[in-house]
Amino acid sequence: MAEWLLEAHEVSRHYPGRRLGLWRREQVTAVDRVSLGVTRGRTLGVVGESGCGKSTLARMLVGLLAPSAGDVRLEGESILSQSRAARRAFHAQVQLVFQDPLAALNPRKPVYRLLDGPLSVLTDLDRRGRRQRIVALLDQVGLRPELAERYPHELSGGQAQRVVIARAIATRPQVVVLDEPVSALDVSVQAQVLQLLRQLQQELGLTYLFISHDLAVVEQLCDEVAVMQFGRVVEHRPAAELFAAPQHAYTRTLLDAVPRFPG
Amino acid sequence: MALSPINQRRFANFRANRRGWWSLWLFSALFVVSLGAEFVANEKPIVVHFDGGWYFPIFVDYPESVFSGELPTTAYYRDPYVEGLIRDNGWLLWPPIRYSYRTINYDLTVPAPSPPSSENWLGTDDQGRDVLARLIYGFRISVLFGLALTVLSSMVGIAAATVQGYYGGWVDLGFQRLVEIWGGLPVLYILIIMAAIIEPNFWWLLGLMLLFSWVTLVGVVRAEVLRTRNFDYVRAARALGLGHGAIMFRHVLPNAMVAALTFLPFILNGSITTLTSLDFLGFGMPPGSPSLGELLAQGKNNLHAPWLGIAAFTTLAVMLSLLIFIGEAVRDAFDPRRNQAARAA
Repeated sequence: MAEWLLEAHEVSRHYPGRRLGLWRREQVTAVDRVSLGVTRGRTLGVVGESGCGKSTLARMLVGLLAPSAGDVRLEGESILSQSRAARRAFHAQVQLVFQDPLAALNPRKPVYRLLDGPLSVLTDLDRRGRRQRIVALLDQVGLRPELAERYPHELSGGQAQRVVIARAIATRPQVVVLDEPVSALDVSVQAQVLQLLRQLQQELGLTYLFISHDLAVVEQLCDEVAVMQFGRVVEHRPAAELFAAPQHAYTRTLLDAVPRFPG
Repeated sequence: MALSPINQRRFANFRANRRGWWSLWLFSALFVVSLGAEFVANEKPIVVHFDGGWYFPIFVDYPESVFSGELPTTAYYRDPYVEGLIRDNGWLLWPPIRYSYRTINYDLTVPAPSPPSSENWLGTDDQGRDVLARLIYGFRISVLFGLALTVLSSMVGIAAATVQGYYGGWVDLGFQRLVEIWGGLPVLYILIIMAAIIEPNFWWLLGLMLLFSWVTLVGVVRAEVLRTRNFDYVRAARALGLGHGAIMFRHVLPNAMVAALTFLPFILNGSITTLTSLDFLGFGMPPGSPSLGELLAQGKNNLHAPWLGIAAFTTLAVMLSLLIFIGEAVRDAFDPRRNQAARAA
């Protein structure tokens, strides 16, 4: 377990909740002392019902949200007390894919501008180099180069999610955190996007942290699975084991909640 | 210039509003004419051809002696003697109105303010100056003042609101209280007090009013930014390591601009009205400047000369109405629900 690539160590996050009086506020604990990590080239699934802290954890892991307590480490080094330049390098290493592709793309920019953004900020390619990279990226995620001129609202859901994925891998990150990447898509498109993710993982040696409430999808894609309930990890084991013989009561409830049809 | 599809639809919607579309054209025409006020109403001819040479008195002051007169001082072309000298040996082209805003007509046959005549189409004011010429120059200064104030206060207001909304939390809370206090100050009284201390001119007034007018946009833009900053694409930009400034200007602001844009015509109207009321009260532009407010005040003081008040009132009413019509059309063109209604119809 020592060679975790991206790791959360005893991470907690509190939110201010209901007012209890003039000065006191209830503290809501979204994530409670969670420790988990993902090894290079593998996929860790994080499952749990809505509101259990999955997305909060994801945001802390990509550096969007500072943990209230605990530490986030990339290759063993803490990212919390870093200099500006080091943070920048971290952002190039760890990227995020959002649930709703249309919300994640600025509606006022055509696709090539959306992809050009991270390249111009995080890499030192010149204009021509970026242009070539954009064409290559579109090809990599299975989009025709003509789509570069389109605006997000002119794309289908699957195409838009491919653009989001292209943006995430534009800076050649090591880790991609996928926050429910397929749950906003049609079932038929889901399969294609999952196929794309698997293919990209093989080609680029990516490490995934896959957040989902869809157990079927997790079972297909993940090597390991962590189950979260009320902000804590209740079970964390290799996927095959977990699905074959769930240990924790909550995991069993989750598995039983999936309708299964004979045949 | 290529418009994005959504802007094309907005433009089509704007054009479909015939009242707004025609108002825009009419207003633009009036504004362009007033921008060239020196060529429309001036006490100097536009071109003089004299003795084989070309002269442009609007741009250059020529002494009378150039046109074989006696005096070494600047030629006064309205003098029939000077005009005669030039016509003897060439020709000259007058603007349609031979009065500038400060030209005093000394040849009035009735005491000033004189009623409309073939010489002074809208009559003269109580100092013998041509009303139409003053209206043209006054229109220009009003619109320019309004535009300058609108642009400047939008820039300040939008920038302040963006920072405030983007950071949110305590920044937002503190700043919002400050804005409320600042916005609660009685602007007109402060301007009047300031007018007692300083000699107001165009730039002073612009600066003073800018101090207070930027507040109007803060509320709406802040709300829009508060909404926008939680969108995933803003989060994505942050995850990509983009700086706060770049996110604000590239991602948040453009999406918050639509709300601000619909406000602009009304701010423009408000600016013009405030300037006019200050001029009316005598705390505005320095004495002698062409201004609609000053003309209104003259109309009030000379009720026996109704052309003063009527001319100023009509100009102001037409100008403000045109701007409101344009503003309404712009607002409706940006309203997504209207768009759908227009498409369904």
